Amino acid sequence: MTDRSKQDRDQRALDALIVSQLRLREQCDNVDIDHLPKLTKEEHEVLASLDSEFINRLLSGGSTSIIDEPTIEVNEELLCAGGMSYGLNRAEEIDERTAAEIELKRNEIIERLERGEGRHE
Amino acid sequence: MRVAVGDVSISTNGVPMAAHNPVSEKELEAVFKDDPEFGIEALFGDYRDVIFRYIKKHGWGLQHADWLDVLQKSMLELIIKVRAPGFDHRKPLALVFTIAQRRIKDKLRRAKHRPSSNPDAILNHVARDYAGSDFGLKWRYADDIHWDDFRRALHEIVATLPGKQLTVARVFVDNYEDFRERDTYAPLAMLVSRVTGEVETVAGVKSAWHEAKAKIVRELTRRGFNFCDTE
Repeated sequence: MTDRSKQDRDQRALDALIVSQLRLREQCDNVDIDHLPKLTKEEHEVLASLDSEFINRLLSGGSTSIIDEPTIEVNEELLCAGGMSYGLNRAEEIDERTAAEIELKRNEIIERLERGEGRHE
Repeated sequence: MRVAVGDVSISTNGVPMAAHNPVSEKELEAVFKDDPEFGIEALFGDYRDVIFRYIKKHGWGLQHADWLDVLQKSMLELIIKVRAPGFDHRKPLALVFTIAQRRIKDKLRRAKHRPSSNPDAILNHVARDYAGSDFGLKWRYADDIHWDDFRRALHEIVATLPGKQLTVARVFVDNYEDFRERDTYAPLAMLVSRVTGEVETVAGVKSAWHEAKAKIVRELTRRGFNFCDTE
């Protein structure tokens, strides 16, 4: 402990604070409904859509899925085909340079689409 | 209203859980006794939001789709239980929470996380880490901090961390006691690699955890918990 810098020791104390408090929160047996995490708008909508029909299907033994498959618009597919694959777009944060490249690519694709639509007319 | 259910205590004081007044735990018990399957409908109709929020709380680090899957599996398991001979109709809401808790742990394990279950396992490590820092000593003996509020805020903030930071945070919290002695991020990188399925570098994981902590402290400070900033 003595060979650690003050900053390092403070960081370890902060680690201990975060871990211990999160573990205590998880292990608390009280289900305090007032303080459960809030629902997002999207979660509200999904849960509201689960009507009695859903539970009846479960009761009747029918298989059912409440997890929507992602729907991809035609234009989004084209955006992917243009080099912006979902695999590449999984990074947690997009830096300025990447954002600029994405914007450039997006504009190119939109122009291509517009030119294509023009030819069909 | 407050009802004690098994080893779970439920408080439902004045919470609008549904557009109409939800059935109470006692009413649910009566319905489950008379007609368990109708009880399931009533429970799901009035408490699905609450059950989902409970799943969200304990399943932090998982994805939205995982929480929905846990909700569905919990209801399916409840159906199997009510149809089993000798089903005990008492405290059905607590039963759902217990089932959900288990399904969340299954889900976390399947995602290569290791949800911790022993609260005492970290006590020595926490004490040691606190002891090395003036901040730690202050936190350990602080009696002017509303810890319940702090924990709630901390949990909310951590749950909103972006992708990699959230994964690293979950793994760090779950495995803290295992690699604390070794004073290295190598075990953390190895465990995070198992979760992500990609090779995670020690530097990358360390950086993600430090960024996550900086965000946590900033947001805690913004919410009035300004004792965490060690800078």
